[in-house]
Amino acid sequence: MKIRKTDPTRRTFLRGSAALGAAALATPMLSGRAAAQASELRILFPGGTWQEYFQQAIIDPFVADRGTEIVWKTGLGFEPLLIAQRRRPQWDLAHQNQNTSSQLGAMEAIEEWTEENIPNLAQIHPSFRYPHLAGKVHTPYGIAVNVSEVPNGASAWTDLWDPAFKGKVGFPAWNWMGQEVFHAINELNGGAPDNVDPGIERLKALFAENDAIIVDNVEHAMQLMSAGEVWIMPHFGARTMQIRDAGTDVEFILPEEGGLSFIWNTSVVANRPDASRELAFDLVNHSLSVEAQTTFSKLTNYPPTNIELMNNLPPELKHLEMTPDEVESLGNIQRNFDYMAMFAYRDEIKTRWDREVLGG
Amino acid sequence: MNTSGRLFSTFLFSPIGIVYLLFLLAPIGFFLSMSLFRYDAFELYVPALTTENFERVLTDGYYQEIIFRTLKIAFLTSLFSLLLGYPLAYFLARSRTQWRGILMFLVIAPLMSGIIVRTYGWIVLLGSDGAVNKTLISIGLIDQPVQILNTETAVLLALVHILMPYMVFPLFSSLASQDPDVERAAGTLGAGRIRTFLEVTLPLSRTGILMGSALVFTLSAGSVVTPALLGGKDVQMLGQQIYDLVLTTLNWPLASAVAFVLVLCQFSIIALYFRGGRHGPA
Repeated sequence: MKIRKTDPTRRTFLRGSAALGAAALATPMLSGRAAAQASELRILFPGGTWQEYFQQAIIDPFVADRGTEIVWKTGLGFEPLLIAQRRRPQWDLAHQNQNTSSQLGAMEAIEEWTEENIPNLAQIHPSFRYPHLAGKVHTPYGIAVNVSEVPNGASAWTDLWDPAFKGKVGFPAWNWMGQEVFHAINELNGGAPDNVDPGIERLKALFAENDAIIVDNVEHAMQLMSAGEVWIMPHFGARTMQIRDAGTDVEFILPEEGGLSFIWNTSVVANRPDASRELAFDLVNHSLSVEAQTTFSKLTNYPPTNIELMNNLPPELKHLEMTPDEVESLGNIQRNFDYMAMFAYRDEIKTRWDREVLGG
Repeated sequence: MNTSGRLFSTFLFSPIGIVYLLFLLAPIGFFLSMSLFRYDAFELYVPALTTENFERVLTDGYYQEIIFRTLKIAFLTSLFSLLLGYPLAYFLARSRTQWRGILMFLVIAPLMSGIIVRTYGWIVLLGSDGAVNKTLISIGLIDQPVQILNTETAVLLALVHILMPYMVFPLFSSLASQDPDVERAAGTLGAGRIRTFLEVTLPLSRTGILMGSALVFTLSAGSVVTPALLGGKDVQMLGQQIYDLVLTTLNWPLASAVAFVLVLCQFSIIALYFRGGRHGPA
């Protein structure tokens, strides 16, 4: 029987050392290669139908092409999480609108969007581009009005104060769209985030004199408008159409002072590993493509933001066509918003809202 | 109890003790410390000690009103759940009918649908064109629809409905475990049915009453969705304030102070309640 020599000799020691050294050198290279081939995207996203649409129109084709694994965390109000984790984030993408993305961007919690990072950004209409986000669709926001109860309809934000609608006016909850609509009304009445007196006075009158009702979310709006509890309220265009499709005679109106337009997409979280960041930008780039936006618009009934698609809408999306004037009027009010000032004064403004508007 | 008995008890209690430590005491400790930090618009909080958050919650009339309303609604929800739940639990505990299983299922059934769905159901029922107003008009009690939605009544109705199972089950358990011979003995000693109920059955079901009331009180005091959807602007409760402060205004120190006050109120009232209950008849 041949006995295998196991005692270390100088040669085996050197060979072993070389192997260990090579392994040590290879480890960062391997992990670097693994990082360069990031195969997982971690996304903070609201649930419900919005997630289903996003999954169907944007995620599924992307995953089929890249084999990426998606990890979801669903819910609302992820801003505190992103701020708290901004030095060591655990998530790659977070669903945001222009308001929250501008604030998070100023705090360097999310990445800036450039055409270098996102080539399809060049195809997005300037009205729907912000420094840290561009919409995959845009969501026109104006007034939903029950035309059975209000045969003359409505034409302006000021119609909400019409005494004929006393007790039948809805207004979105602050943590839904109320904050944005409040700032729009404040702006229209000559206010600014550091001077909300005009907005507070107007909204105080709406609640005290016209008995406005707080509407908490899309489903609540559907319930209240269908039950005849609310005849007129600020609302999203496509969601108003859903109420109409459910059997209530409602119309969507872009107010003459200018409507609002919310853009939604997933912002790219800052300070993530390079490979994850690249993959996140890839997904965002895909969300701005003609193909992704066509599917998403079909599912949501919200107009696309890709100029090529806006100019060549397929027949089934023709009803979403908007004139350049309409597109221009949508962002009128919000373009003047100072998002950082809104963020800085949020506690003071919300406190005044609670006490003077709701408690007044 | 000897040493080995004590060791065995410690062993039995240690898993639940660890769970309470990690998921109850540690979070309360965390938000107590957060409530003593200073709010900062951009950093969310600065670890500089201050009592200003508690001063704001406890001395400001706005928060005092919300604290009072929250406790009032929680108390009334517990009271009405008890008044409505007791006869039901009594019937379920004493009934030998084959329908008992079905009735038990009906008590649990509301828990199988989400709280939001049940709350939306109340919007349909309580609206100006809803079933409640239509019924009241059809029987001639009112001429035109009355406003029920966006009032404390709406919140109370919905909370009693939603939380009723949490009252019925402890009561049922307490009533079902009573020895029926005790009631029979009271009867043979000359007590009538009412006296037997008041002096025997009711005191013996004290544990169920205490447990059910504590559960319903705690859950209703911390409710968010129901007051938000049915109470409108006039029925703000502490749970909604905490939700808004954490997620909308991002004022975590103040949210922690409000949360701590809520927990303290709940603990204090429940402690007083149980203490009072312990001194009752055996």
